[in-house]
Amino acid sequence: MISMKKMISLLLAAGLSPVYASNFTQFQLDNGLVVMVKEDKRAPVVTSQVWYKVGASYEPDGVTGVSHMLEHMMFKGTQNLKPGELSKIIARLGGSENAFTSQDYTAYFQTIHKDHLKRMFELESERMQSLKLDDTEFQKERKVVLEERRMRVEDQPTSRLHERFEAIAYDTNPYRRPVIGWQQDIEQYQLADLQTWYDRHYAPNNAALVVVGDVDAEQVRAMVNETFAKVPARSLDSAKKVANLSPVGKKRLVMRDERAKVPSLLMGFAVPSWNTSEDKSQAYALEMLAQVLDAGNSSRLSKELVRGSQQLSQAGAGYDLYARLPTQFILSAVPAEGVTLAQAESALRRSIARIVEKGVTKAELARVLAQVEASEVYQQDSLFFQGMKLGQAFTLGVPTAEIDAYLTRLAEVTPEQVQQAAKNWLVTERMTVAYLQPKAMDSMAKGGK
Amino acid sequence: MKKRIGLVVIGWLVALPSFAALQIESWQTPKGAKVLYAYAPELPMVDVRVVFDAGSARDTDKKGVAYLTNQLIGQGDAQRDEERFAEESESLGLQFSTQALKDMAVINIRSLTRADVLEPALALSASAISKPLFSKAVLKREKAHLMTRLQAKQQSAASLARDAFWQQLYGQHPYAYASEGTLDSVKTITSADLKQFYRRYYTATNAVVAIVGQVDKAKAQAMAIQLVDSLPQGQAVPAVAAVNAPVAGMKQIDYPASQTQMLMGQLGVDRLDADYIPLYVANHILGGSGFASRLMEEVREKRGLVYGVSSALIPMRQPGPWMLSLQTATNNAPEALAVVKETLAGLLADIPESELQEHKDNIIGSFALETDSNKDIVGYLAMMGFYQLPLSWMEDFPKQVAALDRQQLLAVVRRHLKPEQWTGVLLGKPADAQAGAKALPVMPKMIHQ
Repeated sequence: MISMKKMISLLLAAGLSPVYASNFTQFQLDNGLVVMVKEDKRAPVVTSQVWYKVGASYEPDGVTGVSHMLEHMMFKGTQNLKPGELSKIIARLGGSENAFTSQDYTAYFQTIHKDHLKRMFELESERMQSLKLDDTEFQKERKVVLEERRMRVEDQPTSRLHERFEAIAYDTNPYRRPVIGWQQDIEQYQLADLQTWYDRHYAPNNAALVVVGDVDAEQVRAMVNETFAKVPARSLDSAKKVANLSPVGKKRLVMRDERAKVPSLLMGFAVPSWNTSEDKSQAYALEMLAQVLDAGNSSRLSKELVRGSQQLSQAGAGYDLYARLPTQFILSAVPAEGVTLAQAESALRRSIARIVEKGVTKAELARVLAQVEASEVYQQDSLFFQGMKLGQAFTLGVPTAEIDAYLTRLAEVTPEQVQQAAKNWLVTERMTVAYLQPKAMDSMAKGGK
Repeated sequence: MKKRIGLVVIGWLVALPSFAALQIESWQTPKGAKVLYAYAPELPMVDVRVVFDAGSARDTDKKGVAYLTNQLIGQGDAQRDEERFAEESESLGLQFSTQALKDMAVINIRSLTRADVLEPALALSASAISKPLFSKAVLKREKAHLMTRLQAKQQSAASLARDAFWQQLYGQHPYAYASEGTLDSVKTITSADLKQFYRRYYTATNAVVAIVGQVDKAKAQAMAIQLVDSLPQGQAVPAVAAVNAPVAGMKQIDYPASQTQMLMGQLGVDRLDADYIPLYVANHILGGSGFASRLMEEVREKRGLVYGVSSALIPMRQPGPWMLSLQTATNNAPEALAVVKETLAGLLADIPESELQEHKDNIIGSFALETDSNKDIVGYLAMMGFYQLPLSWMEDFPKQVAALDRQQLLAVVRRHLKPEQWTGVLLGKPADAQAGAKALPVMPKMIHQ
């Protein structure tokens, strides 16, 4: 077993290069655009990503999903590009591209041969300032998004459970809204809603350009000066602070779906993220707790409940450490055959109780650190993932130095802090439990079992 | 800066600079396992993929034996039980995973290359591969969990449709079944079945080892021997049974979902077929290139009928499927099906030179992106070794695409693509699914030459 102290020294010996080291450069243009460049010259390839500080958690009710809808429309033409033309240009150059929307960010990316990087900047800076919203295109794309919602949510019982769980668990927290939007909202957007959203959020002073790959920072600076630097800044509304209600008691949802064949459950606890923690070490203790519960086969849930008591067929735990707003610490489970949802819930709670009562061992923490250390090396195999980390840091308001220090911060967490985190946060008053109940089980329950 | 990856390509319209080709070396271990190796010195890590000709195509009447045999590797061996394996491997940050496909059984190993990590990681992996226990208790539990997952598949319209499609395409052939088996077959599997399957198929002769990372050739040679040469030499396995043409026609399956799942297709080609490259290009044009494809243009971009529509040409030991899939609101199914049929007919009718050129540019240009990480390269190496492709395959592929002549392409497409013989499934609500069948358009007249 490798001790934690040894782990740190091994880490230093391994010579891990943090992103702020010599291969990382960050600067800001006069128009406010933040530019982050990480040189990785293993292949003649570059990933270019533009990240905007906007996503579902910024949206008002009635137009939920408008950030995602707008993301789709960003491929539908600008002053100088016909609908779909941008994608065709990139395909022709041998690039791959796409975009994604989350609660806290919207990002557009291309991966392409390094020779075409400037062309990507031209295209992205074009749609940063001169999107042309066309109603015919919009009406077609609204249908596409409705199909996307049907595919991702309506026809997936476990996704429906997740969506409704969040709607309940988050109270007033904007994370209660689905990123893709409620169906009724998707149906009622007007073109003007999209224009408003674009005008309010798409500006260089609300964005970062992230470039990772076979480039030199100075070349990037020169290309940026000829492209993005020409996009004028806009005055932006500052995001309003949102109410964060203190939890008042356990919430419970039982969802029935005629298509569900296997029961499952979600158990969430209202917790602060790194961003919303007064004491940042508390957030890292929660992160460590999630890892102790669910990092690999040697972790608690897998060892105790999937292999040990065999009450669960699947189990998981997750915590969104760097979320912009307060978040949920979520456990999930699929009970094994013959095990009820109530029994599965008790089994999860007993696993938590064991940590609260008896704590965790140094060996468990060392195993987590070993996996994190290795995965930080493994992640460097992917240009895209390296870019993701930088883009997330920017949009979530976490300094890149803090993200680089992730392993060090985790290594500072003591077994006592993990125990204390479980004791403080994973408590009944903060809890929301949601069951997905197959119809067939209803009659079983009514039969008195 | 030394470039690791890149292919010597004569660009057409897009002139790509040339790079030193990826150096792939190949040899056999003393026991006869084939090894493919590429040196990737940039990151302190190594990826190993060990592949056996032991996929579910080797299953007998007990479907799922290949899957469970593969799954239990790493869950207890002669030296240590599964708990110790999990703890020791995770203390090293070793990532050890298994996957059973139809043709191949795969073991993935990813480790740091520091000697104090790599040596124990290799010892653990070697023991897991060559001395698995197949304990009755572990099998009993894994069968129970697998059956829960098989039940969960029943609540996914996409999974149901996929399984039904493969059944329809392959009839009695082992490719007809999902590798994880069925609820009925999994029940009957015993530890003796796994041991027998393992003895027959997990042999040195039947193994391919791909290695990519910061290890020199001498080390790679030693690693391959350590990982697979404790296995018996074994005997060559017989060829997978030949496949028969399916019965044409669409099958309707009632399912209560908001969307209809539509999967359809025909037999494609095997991995070594001389027509693979032209058909790869044809499929790229049809539905294999996202927004650059005809299906995406016709079904999504012009009509907004779907979120996703794509086609895939899957080359296997025996001819794999050439298939197409989409999901759309049940009411849209007839229109979507009609558009699909028109698009297929259109591909037979003509592929203009300009369109062919655009797709060639995309394929050639983006091939570098598919090989820009160690993970990608190890995947290609294992595939090439398993299907006995020449070591120059990665270099040849873009050249062959570039050299493809339009008339030659059309001739190959017309020889293979037979929409009137296509088979498929429509899985969705019954009334509309029937309406869909009634609305089947008369196949447009095929234009030949």
